[in-house]
Amino acid sequence: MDGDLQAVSDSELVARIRQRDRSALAALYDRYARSVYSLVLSIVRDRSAAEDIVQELFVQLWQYPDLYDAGRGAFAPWFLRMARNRAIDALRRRQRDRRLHERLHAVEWWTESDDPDALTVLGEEATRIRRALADLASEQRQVIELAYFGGLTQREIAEYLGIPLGTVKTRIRTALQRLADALAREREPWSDTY
Amino acid sequence: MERHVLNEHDPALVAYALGELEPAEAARVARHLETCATCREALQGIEEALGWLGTVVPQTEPPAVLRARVLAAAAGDDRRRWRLAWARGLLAAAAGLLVIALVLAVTRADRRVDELMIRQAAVAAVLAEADWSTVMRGEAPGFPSVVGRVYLDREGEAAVVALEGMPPPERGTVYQLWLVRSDGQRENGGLFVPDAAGRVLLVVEAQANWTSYQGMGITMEPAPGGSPQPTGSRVAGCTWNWEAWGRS
Repeated sequence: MDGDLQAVSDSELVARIRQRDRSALAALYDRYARSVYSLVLSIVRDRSAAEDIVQELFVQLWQYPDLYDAGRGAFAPWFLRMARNRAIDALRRRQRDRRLHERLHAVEWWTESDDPDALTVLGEEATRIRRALADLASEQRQVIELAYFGGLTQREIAEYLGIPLGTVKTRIRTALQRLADALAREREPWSDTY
Repeated sequence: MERHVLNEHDPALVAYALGELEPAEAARVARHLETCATCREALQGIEEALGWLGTVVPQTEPPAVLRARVLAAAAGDDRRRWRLAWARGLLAAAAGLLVIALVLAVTRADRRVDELMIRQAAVAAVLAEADWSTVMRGEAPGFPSVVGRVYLDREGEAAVVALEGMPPPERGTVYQLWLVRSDGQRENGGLFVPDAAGRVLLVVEAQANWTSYQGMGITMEPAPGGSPQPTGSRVAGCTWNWEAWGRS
């Protein structure tokens, strides 16, 4: 199905959605439903809620394809960011009345035993960010985990960990800098890396 | 490739990218981004990292039926669009153009795209039903004589308020919209801060249908939470009279 669309770029598929081509939506679904669903599920921890969010994301992509601006970067990270924000909003709505420590759950990271094909589908960036994450100091990984997957604000993280807000901000900024560097390094020679 | 450096230009950039800022603070960062290429580039680096970070979780296959649900919902959306296009005339068309212009403005001011999408869907839904519109007039020095329009369906409870040329609220305040009931009671219609160009696009939910109201007013109230009842002087507003409307 949609075999002729396999070689078509993401941004071209979005352009076809603007022309109301439903096969382009199906092709983007086939490419990203699994990664988007996995991300949302790992945040909301509820299959039915995750399905609803994923459906909403794709339907809104269909309704408002103009919100993706190819000039501002690749489709996949944009769509995943949107999925993360939507999942965090759902999580916050559901957990508004719970205490901070009750809101947290351990995030499961991808392990080496997971299906390597899935990484291939997601492209080189997925491999690179996974390595960069593994290379972070554990206290940096912890704040990223609490902010990105737990939906905690930097102030809440400071409260939860019992450390100054300034320290949390520095750790998150440093961690994000390293992750951004790892993605930006693609055209640099190995000697430039550390 | 150029390295995106997270500098100290704007320490709120990370919080902004994570979507944890209050609207007034987010609007401030957005205004800074419009003029600072260094921060725009830094933000792009952060956003890209935050996007790819979403791939580090264990991968789970969604249920096969979800694909069919998504495609069916998209098909349903097409049919609804077609019906609405025929059912609604000039008002929807004119308002649609307005939404496109304003949504583009808001897109720059508010990078939380998911929130924006929800808002845009809500705006489109209200406008599709709207059968009446009126002008919102500036009522204080420094405000344009016409600050925007209100679009609503008289039998419904939702309205779109689109404003332009609004000056920034005074320091330490936000704008608050009040819905004026027929008995003169004021009901909270929401808080807002204009974007850098003075534009605002709001979806307002009233507690009853619009025939129970006689107008709207805007005041400045203490940030960030506003007030339960208006305390500042009125800077803009509109009044309507359904009985006179019915006779015309």
